[in-house]
Amino acid sequence: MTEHVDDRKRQVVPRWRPFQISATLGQLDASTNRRLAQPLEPAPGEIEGLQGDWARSQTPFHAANLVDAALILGRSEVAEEAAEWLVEHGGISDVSVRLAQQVLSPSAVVDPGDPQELTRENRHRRVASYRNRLRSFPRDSLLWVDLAREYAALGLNEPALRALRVAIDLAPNNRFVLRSASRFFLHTHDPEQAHRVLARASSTSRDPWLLAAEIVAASACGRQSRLIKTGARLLQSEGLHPRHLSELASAIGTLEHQAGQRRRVRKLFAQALRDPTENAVAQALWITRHMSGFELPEGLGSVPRAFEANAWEAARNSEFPSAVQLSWQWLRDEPFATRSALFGSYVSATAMGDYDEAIRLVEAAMTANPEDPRLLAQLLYCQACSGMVDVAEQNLRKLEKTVKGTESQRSDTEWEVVLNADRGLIAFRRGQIEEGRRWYGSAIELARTHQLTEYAASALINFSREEVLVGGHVDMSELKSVVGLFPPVTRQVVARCVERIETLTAAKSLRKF
Amino acid sequence: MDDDLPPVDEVPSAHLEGRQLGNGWSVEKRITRDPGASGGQFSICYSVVHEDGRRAFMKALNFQAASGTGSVVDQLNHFTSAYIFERDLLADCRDKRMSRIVRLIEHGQVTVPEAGALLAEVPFLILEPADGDIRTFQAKSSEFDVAWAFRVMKHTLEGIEQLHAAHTAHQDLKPSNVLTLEDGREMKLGDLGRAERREASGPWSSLTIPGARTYAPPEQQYGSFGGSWEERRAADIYLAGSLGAQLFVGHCMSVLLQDALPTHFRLTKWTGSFAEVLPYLLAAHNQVVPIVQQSVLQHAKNSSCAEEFALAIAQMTQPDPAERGHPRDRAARTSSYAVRRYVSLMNLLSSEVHYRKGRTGRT
Repeated sequence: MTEHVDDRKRQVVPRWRPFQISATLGQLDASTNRRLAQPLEPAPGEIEGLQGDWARSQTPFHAANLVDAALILGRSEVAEEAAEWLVEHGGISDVSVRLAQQVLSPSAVVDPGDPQELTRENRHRRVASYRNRLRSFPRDSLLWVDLAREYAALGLNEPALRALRVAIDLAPNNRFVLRSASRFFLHTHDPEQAHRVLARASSTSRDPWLLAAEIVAASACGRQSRLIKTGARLLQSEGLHPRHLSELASAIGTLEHQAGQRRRVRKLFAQALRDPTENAVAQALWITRHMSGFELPEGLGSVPRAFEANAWEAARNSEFPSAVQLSWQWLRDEPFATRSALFGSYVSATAMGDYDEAIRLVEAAMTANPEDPRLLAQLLYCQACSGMVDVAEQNLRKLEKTVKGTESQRSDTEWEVVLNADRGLIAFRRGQIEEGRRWYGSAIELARTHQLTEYAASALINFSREEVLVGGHVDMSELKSVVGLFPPVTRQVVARCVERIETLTAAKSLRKF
Repeated sequence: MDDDLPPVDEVPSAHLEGRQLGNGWSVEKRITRDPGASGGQFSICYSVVHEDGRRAFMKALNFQAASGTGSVVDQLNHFTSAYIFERDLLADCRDKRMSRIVRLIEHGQVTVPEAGALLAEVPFLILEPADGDIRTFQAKSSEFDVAWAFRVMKHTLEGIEQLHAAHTAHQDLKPSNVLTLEDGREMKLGDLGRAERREASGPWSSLTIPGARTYAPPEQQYGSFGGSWEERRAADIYLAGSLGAQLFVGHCMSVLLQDALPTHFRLTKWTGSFAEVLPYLLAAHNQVVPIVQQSVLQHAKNSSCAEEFALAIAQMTQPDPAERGHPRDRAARTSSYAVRRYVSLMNLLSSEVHYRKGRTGRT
């Protein structure tokens, strides 16, 4: 049975991107106003002296001196001639020409671009390169975090943890380090550590980005943060750029949603969306799915890297290929995460019947999460649907062992429904139709007994498809009626699946006729 | 040139050509650039000659530069304090026989009767003459002289060492303040106008950036400079390391760091504290050090030499002042910012390159 998209919970868990990307997205900007963001004032005679030197001695050294002053003091106009000279004649090193070009045409804002697709080999090469650099610069906390991220993307959580511990020791108050570490601990299902690492940092109570992460981590531990009031005060303080408060307002807004305070939710998300991060947009979109009457303003999809929000929107609008494409980008953005792959794979398999693409997505996520039962369940389902029955059966055995030995967000009954449905699917694909019917019947009955309506509906849809494929009869009106049992956000996906079954039924009937 | 001069009654210090200074020295001609003189606009520079044939360099104080906004009394007070501070410091350096600090020969004042009564006396300093600064010398060479560049570092660090031993921080070390003498064989530090003494506050004590802003260490540029003696020594060692990078790369460390930083952490964007930006500066520094190493390697054609030099520069220009300097000195806790080890290293590197050049004809 295809994996359900579990949309019951969502928090503004900090994203963990490479340092350069996080910096380019402005998520590491200072949230305090300790100094003015402006070029330094020159010392008396500083520029004039260098200009005089340059006028008297047109050499690479004098030109470079003037270019240096122009760059630091933000006075490009004083060094244009010297910069042109350097570009034409060259400097002492290659650096001179590059810096001279900066004087002549100051660089525009850097676009973070789309996340790159990296193979396992490429990631290993990155790890080697980072380790090599760390041998020379072992105190580079940011590089330790980037190394940890590559390890996490490869599913090597132990070395990732060691790298993060070094980073925390080196920069115990740095926003990038702490948020990344907290994200890692949530990824490895250790919410206590995720919270502890933030709670003991002295910067957390002052930094809205850390406060947001702390509130989320506390919530993941099943308790309320002690810093909520501090966060609320910060939200009311003036002088902070709205971008800095976006995730904090989202985090507190989500708590208010849980408490049923609809008015506060609206107010907080209005603040969160003034200059939002993509994470805040995704969170706001989640609120729209769970709180009727909550609407989002237009244009939020253009926020950089809003892959998750846009993927959900695309699915809701029946733009399934686009939803799958966006899921890939979402996955590349956080290659160690599972939600993106499960979502994309679900849309690809259920709405489009593209099981190969669905398998590719799941396999990509399994690099970092080889033992994740939900990924394994989705993989075997797609494998069985695409005819790889033997492999699917092997994975079914593996899944049976995995779900017994590990804790997961899914209950034993839910797993039993999924396993029975998968047993039924494999039986059908092996031609053991009666056995298949028995397993599916058992899955549906178990789901209904435990009021797992969505599971029952899903099992029924899959059962119906298999019946149609073997020439059996299917009650399409019943099938269409169960679409309404799915949450609105995935209803379009399921409806498309039912449409495909209907088309298949018509084609089979025509062939019989 | 006389046509361009301001009126004598306004700027008497601009009208000293041909005058006798009353101690055997006479003023020759005005020079446009004052090698090693502090703040070009605060003084007017001349070449001077002694009756025994010695030539020297003279800085005449320009009181006119004190005019501007604010209380004129405060400005004059500050102005004269700065002059007295530099004069006494140079005299002290001479008395302590600091071989790597430009030598004060004479000081006094000359009367310019044409000027008004108040401004008739022009104080001056006569300093030993220099050929120019290291930039001029480097530009004259047909090829990059690696041994010379290491020697510049050695002499500069010796100058810093001598000053620090006398409880003085230079605070404005930059290429134009490293003077060349004897056809570039000897280097001395000039311009002590921005210096600070441990025992007595100088005229610039309260400034967050006492020297040139362009070259200043990051803690000063990002506004986290308390002005303690140790912080001033740390700044000097940074400036020395920055000079080393500049000799081979052409650009000072501050510019290289800013270039390597993502724009959000640059001086023009960052609004947070120095402590908050420090991890980003460290990461940028780690990108700059290989550039320095590569540049040295390009010129020296010797990887171990490039590696050792780059390591020294990395230690000297470490963005975190608490981690700056040689690790062994830091471990000793008594002399974190000592430069003796770097002096020895530069001496060794210079000799090594010089010896190899002699054997192979290559630098």
